[in-house]
Amino acid sequence: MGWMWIFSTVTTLLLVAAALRWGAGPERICVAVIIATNVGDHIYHFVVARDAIYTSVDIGHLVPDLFAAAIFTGVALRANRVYPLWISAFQFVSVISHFVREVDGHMGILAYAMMNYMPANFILLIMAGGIWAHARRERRYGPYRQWRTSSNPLPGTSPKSPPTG
Amino acid sequence: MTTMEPGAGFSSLTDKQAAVLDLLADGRTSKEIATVLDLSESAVNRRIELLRTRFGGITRLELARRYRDWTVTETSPETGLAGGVESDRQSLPLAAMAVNDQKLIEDGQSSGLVFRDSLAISVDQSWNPATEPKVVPRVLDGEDAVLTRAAVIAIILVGILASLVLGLAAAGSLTETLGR
Repeated sequence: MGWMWIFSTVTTLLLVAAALRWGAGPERICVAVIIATNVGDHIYHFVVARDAIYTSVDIGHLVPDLFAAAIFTGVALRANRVYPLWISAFQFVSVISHFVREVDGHMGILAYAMMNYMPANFILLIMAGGIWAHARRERRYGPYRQWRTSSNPLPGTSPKSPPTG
Repeated sequence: MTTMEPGAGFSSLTDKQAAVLDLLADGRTSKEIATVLDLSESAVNRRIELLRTRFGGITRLELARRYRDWTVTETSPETGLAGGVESDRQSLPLAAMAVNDQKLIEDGQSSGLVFRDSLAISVDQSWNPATEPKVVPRVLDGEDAVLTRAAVIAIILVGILASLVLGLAAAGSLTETLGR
């Protein structure tokens, strides 16, 4: 799994640079969570002095996953973006894998590893796409809302047809 | 020869004499006065000579000056016309008349008249598309967006899990198939 770790690390660093350069609030928060979980995971494995285990529920992975799920979901519910919805969903896959592993002891190791590890890579790809889309929109339209409106738009504010006659 | 007071005697002028003196005081010559009044020049000169004699043989210029002074004095607001004498002659002094009421009408600080823009007018055309891009669908924006977005997350999660289950099932089948 060395190449996967290298790919994940390099991608994360690139995303951090991209978020700081082109990203807005939602992008930077999501990247900050990714960095925090990655750094926290390394610190955890350094402290416990062992690699990840998939034969049982790993608390050292469960807690960061829950933390990340909470933050990603908060961003997904508030941001003026679509991609955080996908990131939140993939993160919940990781969280669910822990509970399924805990409930069903017969869950295959491969299945548990895929559900727990693979979403992180998808999250990195989705994050890259989100930053690119935001940068493209900002380049075309200029700065725009980072967060969604908290009230419904007024009935008369929708674009009207030009006056005739 | 009777010497009369300056200005005195003008009040008893006849209309014809007053007409001649008006034009004389205006600086007209005898010939011009005759033309205006449709008289002969000799008739005009006779009237002027008569008036000069009445006022003590003064010159034409002095006669004209006294008559001008008398008309200004007689028509000023302070003195008004001579008591009981109506005159159809009016001489308006060119000098500015004194105004008792010096109050001028102007807008001051106490007038309360203040001009300000009471209505901000936007020149934006409402039918032009909004400059801000539409990032999320309308259903994911607004007051009810929390529930809608949560539902979308749940749908995506179910889809991912379904795909994962199908993928794992397919992988298991392939493994069994290749294992045989």
